[in-house]
Amino acid sequence: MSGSNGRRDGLLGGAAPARALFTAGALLLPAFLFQQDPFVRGLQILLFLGLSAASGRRIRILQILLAGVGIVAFNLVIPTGRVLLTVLGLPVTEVALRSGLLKATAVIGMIAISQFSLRTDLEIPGRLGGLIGRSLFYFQLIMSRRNRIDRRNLIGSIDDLLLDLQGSVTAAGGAGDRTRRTTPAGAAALVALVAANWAVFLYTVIQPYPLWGK
Amino acid sequence: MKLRLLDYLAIILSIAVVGGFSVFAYAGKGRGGDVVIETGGERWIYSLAADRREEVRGPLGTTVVVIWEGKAAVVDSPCPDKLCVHMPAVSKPGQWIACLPNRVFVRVRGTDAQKTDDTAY
Amino acid sequence: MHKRLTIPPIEAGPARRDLVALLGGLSLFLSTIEYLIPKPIPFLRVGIANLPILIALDLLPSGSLFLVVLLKVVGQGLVSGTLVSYVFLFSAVGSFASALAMMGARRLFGRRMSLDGVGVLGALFSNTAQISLARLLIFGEGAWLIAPPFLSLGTVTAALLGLFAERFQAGSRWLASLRRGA
Repeated sequence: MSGSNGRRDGLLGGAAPARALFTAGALLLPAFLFQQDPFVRGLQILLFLGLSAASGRRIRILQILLAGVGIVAFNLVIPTGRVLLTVLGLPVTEVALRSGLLKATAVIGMIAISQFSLRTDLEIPGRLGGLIGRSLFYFQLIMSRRNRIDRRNLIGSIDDLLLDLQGSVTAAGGAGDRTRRTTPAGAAALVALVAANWAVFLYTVIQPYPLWGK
Repeated sequence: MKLRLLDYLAIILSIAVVGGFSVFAYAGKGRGGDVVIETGGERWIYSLAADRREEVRGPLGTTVVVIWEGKAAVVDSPCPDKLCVHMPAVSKPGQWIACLPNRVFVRVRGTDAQKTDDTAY
Repeated sequence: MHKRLTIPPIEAGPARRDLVALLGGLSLFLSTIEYLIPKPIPFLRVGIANLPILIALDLLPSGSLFLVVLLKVVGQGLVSGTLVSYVFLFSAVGSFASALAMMGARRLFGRRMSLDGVGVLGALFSNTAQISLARLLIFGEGAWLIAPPFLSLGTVTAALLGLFAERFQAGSRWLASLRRGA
């Protein structure tokens, strides 16, 4: 889940500017969260993670899985519902399991959606936007000079670095949105993505838990 | 690098909060055990702490078990004499209510202390 | 007898805005480092990213401090790609709770509580807020089980970080130059 420091093309090879991606992500979010079947969510997560990988983000599968398992385990601690199986003497109950899966998938799904719908060159308008831009500028500056930090002289080296930075007040921050307008192909892809997920949600309104059962 | 009195107080406050949470999380497990409802090959577990109403299907029909104010009781059952309905509500580990005709068995288990009981079944 | 803080905060203007941006960027940098530290338990928080806020407590007024916190949280969310998720919410709630507690402590106690105590209080508020949120949103009643280790670890790391912050504040030429109004 590290930043996309290498490839800045983003999704669809730059066919969609940061703001369009952001809107798509924001629209996807409620469709995903309102849908309550854990297995369907699992499929959606795979899709989102795929999109995330396609846009250059590094995905730490192990970490994600671990977090998910952890959340489910926590919810299983208090047994509720029909006992499905017993692991090491502890009962795994249906209601607790579903609750845990829903929460775990919610977290993972949200992170995945964020990852492909947010680009670091997203411009937030207004004075705050300017501050964020400048902040990111300083961040990159510090990053590029991080070798100067000496573990044996921690305070001193950091202090020096900061003193050095004081001079760089140049407002050269503005990375700006590097992509042009949305291409028709890009727009179509995003619209299809959002529409598909909403369709899935609406389907579950009529037919709840299509994959989960019960 | 010298810590002042208030620093120590802040640290003590933190420790106190940790202690409070420990008591709450670990010792508090004793109160309110779980209710286990069994019928045929199925088992359900519910916490006594949350009010709910569950319907359990047995060979004769539906037995209704209600959890309310930390106690569990059978409020309706398709058996002829309704002995189970008349049994008093259970709340302590080891207590049970049974509807033999409908093969429904309701019992309270403590949290971890009663684990051997479970596996003995 | 309340000893007033003798160091005046930085005056409003471009210098202050720049400092806010710098601190925001610094926080972001530190959170990246924290992110890279291998953690046996995924939800462990070390809170290195709070150092800039600790140090800036005496330099900036409350509004600007909150801005730094906002920058830290939003920046983290953007770069790690979790801006629209529970993680962001947790980060935000924790950071703001911590900032509130630290500012309150500083205003109330002045120099009678070193940055160590301030940091510990900040961590206490932040972690308690986050655990409560976790109880609501993610873990259910099971959340209380990790509360004690989570909080105690947080206290220990906050105490260590606070110590570092005090040392830094004492020996930093950068801070000195800021106060002189470079």
